[in-house]
Amino acid sequence: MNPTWQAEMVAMIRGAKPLSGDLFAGSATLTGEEQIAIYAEQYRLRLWDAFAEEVPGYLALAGDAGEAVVWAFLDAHPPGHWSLGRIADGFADWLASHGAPVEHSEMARLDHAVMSGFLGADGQTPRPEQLADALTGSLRLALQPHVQLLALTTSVQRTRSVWSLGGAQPAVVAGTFLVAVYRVDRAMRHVELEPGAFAALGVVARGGTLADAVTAAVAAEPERAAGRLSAWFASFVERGLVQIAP
Amino acid sequence: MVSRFHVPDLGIGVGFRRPHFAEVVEGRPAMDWFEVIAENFMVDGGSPLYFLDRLRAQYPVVPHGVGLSLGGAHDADHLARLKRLADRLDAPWVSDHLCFTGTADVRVHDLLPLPYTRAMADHVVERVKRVQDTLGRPFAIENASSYLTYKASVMPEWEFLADVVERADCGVLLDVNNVYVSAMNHGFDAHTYLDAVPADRVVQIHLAGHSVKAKYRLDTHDGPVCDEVWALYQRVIHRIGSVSTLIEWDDQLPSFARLQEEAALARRLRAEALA
Repeated sequence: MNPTWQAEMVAMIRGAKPLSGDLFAGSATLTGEEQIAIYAEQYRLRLWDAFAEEVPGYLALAGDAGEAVVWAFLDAHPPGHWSLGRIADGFADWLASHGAPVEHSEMARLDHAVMSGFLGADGQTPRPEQLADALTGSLRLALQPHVQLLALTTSVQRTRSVWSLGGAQPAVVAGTFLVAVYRVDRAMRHVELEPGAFAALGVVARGGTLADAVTAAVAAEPERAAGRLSAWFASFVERGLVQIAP
Repeated sequence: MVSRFHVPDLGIGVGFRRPHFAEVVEGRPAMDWFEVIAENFMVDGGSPLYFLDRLRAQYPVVPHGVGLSLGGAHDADHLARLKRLADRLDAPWVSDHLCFTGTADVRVHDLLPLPYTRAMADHVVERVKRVQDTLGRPFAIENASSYLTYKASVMPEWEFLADVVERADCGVLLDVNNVYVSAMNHGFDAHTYLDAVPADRVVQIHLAGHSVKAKYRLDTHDGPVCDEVWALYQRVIHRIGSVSTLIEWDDQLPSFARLQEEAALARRLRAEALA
């Protein structure tokens, strides 16, 4: 067989090439073209189910129009990873670069943070008294692998929360929302952070020291940081947002 | 337990599926063993591994892959993660399908049939040897159901399967429902296929339900095992002896109690065939 037969077959299945029965023997009841069409149909059913599981917030927000958008993305970016759980990787950025409403791309980003956090590892959470060691530099902190920080310009996190609890979807409003998405036991949560807390966690996420994180927090909120630092860092530990750097 | 290709007969098991996670690990219902879809647990943490570890503490667990793409390209990351999972479970064996799942760049996440040619057999043998060497534990390949055949094939599927498993020195996960579905779709005799499978290499049997479409059968795992497949199962057991058997039920998933009923039926029919 032509060495490119697998690529040709995959292209037919995902709709990138017209179906052809040239490679296939057919059967008593099906032509070769009808045979490959079965796989093409299953491909669309399987991918749609998987994608819908990954971006429930986006699809709830986008409504009926969302399906065509999803297929436009999948046609341009067919799944390339062995895990179907990675099927929506890059979707939020793709939406943002293809003129989608900002709340749509931000909801997709939030969906992705929730789904990837759900399967993320658990690092060792520091004890509150270990924060002093972190300040002196003898202990390094990092974000827990299941935590993602999102600087949002729309209130999609509030919309998703209400919707996921079964309520009517509230309108998305514009604003600045600094959000940490994280996991508690086996459930995903999010918390809206104050600017200083968000800045401090951002430094931790980039591998900075706790001293650098404090500096960033003070720079973000010069008036309030001094009085809030202890509470912020205590909440990072209490919520399990940080780990002892591996 | 009887040793077969260096693996034990675990009895009758079912798939470990998300709607049943909590019920199984908390209630510890009667079941001989569980199979898990490997890729669903090849993750870093969270809910899947939480439940998997608790399941393994109570039952034998076998990982069953859908992503090795033995007829396609090697994926080092996939194989490394599969090995980590098998080691985590101390799995008695690992299995995946005789198929390809896409190209190196595009995965269609389906079990695509292979052309049964000498060149493809050589390719699969090398892939299986590499997988088995990496895993360091028995590996079995499963016959997939199929809806197409290739003009280029030079032998029937059962000859291809027997050739591959003998040369790769691996086991067979014999899916009786898949044999039946493919036999109906392609017009061959399921008995011919089942009688040609090397009996001493069968380490596990799969049973499942399928759907009857207007012009073909579709392997949907969405219902009980049909009478024709039960009959084939008993014939296989009579021929090859006692072997671990698993009920696959993935879509339209019923209560766990209903799965236990299906497993009990398999246990009774297996015992009858062995008598």
